[in-house]
Amino acid sequence: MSSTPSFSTSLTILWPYVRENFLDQVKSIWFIVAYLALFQLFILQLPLVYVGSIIAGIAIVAFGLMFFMEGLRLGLMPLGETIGAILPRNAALWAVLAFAFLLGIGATFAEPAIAVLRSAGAGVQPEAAPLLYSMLNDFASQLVLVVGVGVGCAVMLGILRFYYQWSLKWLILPGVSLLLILTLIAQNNPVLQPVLGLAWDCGAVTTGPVTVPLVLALGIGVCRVMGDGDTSNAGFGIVTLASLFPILAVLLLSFGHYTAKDYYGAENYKGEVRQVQQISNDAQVNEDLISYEPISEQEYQEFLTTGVIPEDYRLRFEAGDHELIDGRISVDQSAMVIEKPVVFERQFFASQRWDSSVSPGQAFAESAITAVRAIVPLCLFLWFSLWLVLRLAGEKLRVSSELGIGILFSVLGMALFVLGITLGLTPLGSQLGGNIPITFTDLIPWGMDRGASALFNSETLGKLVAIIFGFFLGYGATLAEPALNALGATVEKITVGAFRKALLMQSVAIGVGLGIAVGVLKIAYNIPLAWLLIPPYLLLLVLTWISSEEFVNFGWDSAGVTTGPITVPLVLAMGLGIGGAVPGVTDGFGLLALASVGPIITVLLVGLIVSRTSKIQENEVSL
Amino acid sequence: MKPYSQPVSLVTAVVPQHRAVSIIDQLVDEGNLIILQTDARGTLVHQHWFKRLLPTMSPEFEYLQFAVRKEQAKALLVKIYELAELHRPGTGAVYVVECDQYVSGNNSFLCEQDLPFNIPSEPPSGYKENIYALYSLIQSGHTETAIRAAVQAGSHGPIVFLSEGRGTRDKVPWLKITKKPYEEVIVTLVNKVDRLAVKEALVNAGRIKTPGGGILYDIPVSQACVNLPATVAAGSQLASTHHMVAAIDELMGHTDWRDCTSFSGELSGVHRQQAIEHTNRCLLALVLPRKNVYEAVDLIIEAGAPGANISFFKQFAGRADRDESGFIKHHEMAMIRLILPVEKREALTQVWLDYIEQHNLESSSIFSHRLSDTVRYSG
Repeated sequence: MSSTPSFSTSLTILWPYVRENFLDQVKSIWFIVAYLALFQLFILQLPLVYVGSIIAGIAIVAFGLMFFMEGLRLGLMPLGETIGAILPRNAALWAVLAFAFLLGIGATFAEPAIAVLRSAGAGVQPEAAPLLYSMLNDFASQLVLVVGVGVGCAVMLGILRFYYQWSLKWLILPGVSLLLILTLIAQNNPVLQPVLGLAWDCGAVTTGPVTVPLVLALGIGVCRVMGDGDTSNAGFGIVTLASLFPILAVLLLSFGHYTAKDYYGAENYKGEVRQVQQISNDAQVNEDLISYEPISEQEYQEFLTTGVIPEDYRLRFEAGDHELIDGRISVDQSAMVIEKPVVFERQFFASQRWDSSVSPGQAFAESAITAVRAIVPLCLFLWFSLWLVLRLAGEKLRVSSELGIGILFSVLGMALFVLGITLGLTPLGSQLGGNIPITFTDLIPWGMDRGASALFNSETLGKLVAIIFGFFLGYGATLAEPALNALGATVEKITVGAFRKALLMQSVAIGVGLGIAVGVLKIAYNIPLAWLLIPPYLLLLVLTWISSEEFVNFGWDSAGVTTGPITVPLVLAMGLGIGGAVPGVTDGFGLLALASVGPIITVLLVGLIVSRTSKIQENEVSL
Repeated sequence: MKPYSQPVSLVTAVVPQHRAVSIIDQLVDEGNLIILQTDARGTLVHQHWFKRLLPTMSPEFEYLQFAVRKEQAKALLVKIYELAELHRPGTGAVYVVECDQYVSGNNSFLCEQDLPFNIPSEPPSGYKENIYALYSLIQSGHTETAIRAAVQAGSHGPIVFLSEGRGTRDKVPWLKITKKPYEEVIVTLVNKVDRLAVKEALVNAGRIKTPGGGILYDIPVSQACVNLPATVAAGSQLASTHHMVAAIDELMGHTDWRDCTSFSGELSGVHRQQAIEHTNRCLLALVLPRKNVYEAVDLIIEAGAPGANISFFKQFAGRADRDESGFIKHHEMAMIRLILPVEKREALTQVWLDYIEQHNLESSSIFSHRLSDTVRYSG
């Protein structure tokens, strides 16, 4: 036993480890990938475009996730936990709080959510939603800053909570009530109302795959030193606060600009009123796919002689002036075009296998930069804080060799994983997102040149299919989300396996699915967000009130982690796709906020069922 | 550091989580005790197949350890019994194990003074002296099967806590990354009559006899009160199956009447001849501050210990934990457990003693128990 194992022994130890970790990732992503591909092929009956790129991308995602999850376990989380356990012992409270504040701001800048929000608001017209437009463009840097300050305050308050043993309930109940009141006020103001979606989404997107595990580990570390014997929920709650505070911060910022009247078009507006370019979400047309159904010379001659258009031919007007006069459309100076209907050939894979506009090398360079920027500065900051605290306490910094490997793994993993998303998941998701409205309306399928007609004759039925699609999309994407996997593993470890990871993941995934389904409903029928947010949050206030502290912690924290790098692009693509097909909808906001409220409800409900089953046991009094 | 002159008992309490805070507070305030605490989970065996479809959670427990002078152990046991209301079904357990050696620093978790608790003339109901504690370290993935087999073979509901293992793969630095973050330790309390059956069930269902399977050891418990849940009771029944089974056990005096077919397939397992059962083994444990734990483990493995497992504890010491600003800051402790042949004990204890002296770790202590039995794979 005392001799060093040989290389072959090392390999026999290493191989099962690699296999197991890789299979774990395959298990978490297969559902969403298979679901999206099969939906496109069999329900929408459209061919898959860029199939080569998608397959390569998905494989890279699996590898990336494998490294990233191991990196979290070996590097980022131990680093966070160590610093959490060392700080309270060696530093004064104010120093710990200052550290927490800086960490919160740093984490927000490291994982910039603003890009996501920009894409959600790409179609916002300054005339229709001036304040929202200004927030996204003129005040974008202020927006990032207030979100950062919000997260900073949240981490600070979260840590302070561990010092004073405050119940998370007593922070959530007043906090959410305040948010609901502000939301109601904004809802009744035409200028503020469009900002609501942005504000609530900000809360959802700020907590990313690096921030969540790091902050969670930090909290666990602090609770190793502070706190009473009740450790079942030790370390949780910071993520919740980090989701609520940015909402408050963004709402307050918008209220501020509203009163200052310096948004687009208002009297004190300083920016120049410019022409916004219309951003369309139609993908580029692939030349390869163009396959006309031309009207032949013979058919043309036939038409000339008879003057009769075959029944199934289509007549449309190109250009010209259209006017509605006395209930009739009058067309003036327009070219009339007669077309033969398109006969669809069933085809599984479009001939376009690779997207020529994406170069893998450049994509990798970009994803590597994203990964380095998200992880390295934060780790340096943590490292420096740790070194400083130990230096002041006169201790030496002892670091295990795994920590370095772990951080390396997480950078490599994240780079691969972001690359895989760009190559594989984004084209797959945008195809589906763009194509899903075909269930209730005519459109040109993504990446194709010609229109297809609605699949279902009844619009309601079609929208229902879209809503069901949204449910499973949310469900599948959530199961693949790395931050949720990390949270699940942490919950399982904290409760010594009593609360299974699978139970948490399934509850959260179903919750996200429901949230997304409601979100699709919102967009498909253009329902104001407030009417969909306020009732669930009122229900949540009641559920939170009656639930046990433990489930309040798990449930609310899981809401913060659901919207990560896998869910967001898929959900936004779908939201924008459907939004584009419904008149009057200009932005994809609100979907993410709804995706966050769903899991809290399901986890708390599961908690109530669980505590009911165990209560039967408790109430039995021995004779 | 010096050997403690009087015999010392290690008292372990398993109490429900929601009651733990008040129990710890009272024991620390009234008894001036120092407590080591870690989290544990209980067992949940579904009575009906459809219950598995409902979301359920295993009951959560806190695993508390105390070291007291031997004659004080019973008073503490009875006090914990009262505080934790151990007469109620499924509330937990408390048991006492005698140490055959205890070396302690000035500041260790041993409570040297008399406890201000009275010993009632009559022992509490459920008080037993013929109990064994089986500790098994099983490959993750087999834990649930092993637990189910143990319950069917007649054990009280097993308790699981986490530990970190140290062994072969720690010798190559980069292989450390392949280590499981934690292993599950199953603690099973069994009546003497059930001991062999439960051990057989754990060894087979937990595949302890296969290579790398794990280890099982068995410590005689001198006194215990056990009331651990093994099943979810149906709301419609006055008594759970577990209650009825326990009542019949009590009447029959043994558990041979129970149906053991559900794991009999496992009993005919392979590799049986490859298991070694040792009777001359002992458990050597070191409690020390968490930040020193890896150094101490590396040292002892270098000195020839076959392997070690580490559990982390929070130490509760009441007022001593408060800092000048009034916040309670606990000391983080770790316990390293080794299973050794008795003849190796002296030498390895000395290695640790030197380490403790050198770093002046007054809050540490070293103790050992005689094991009645050890089972592991011999490859």
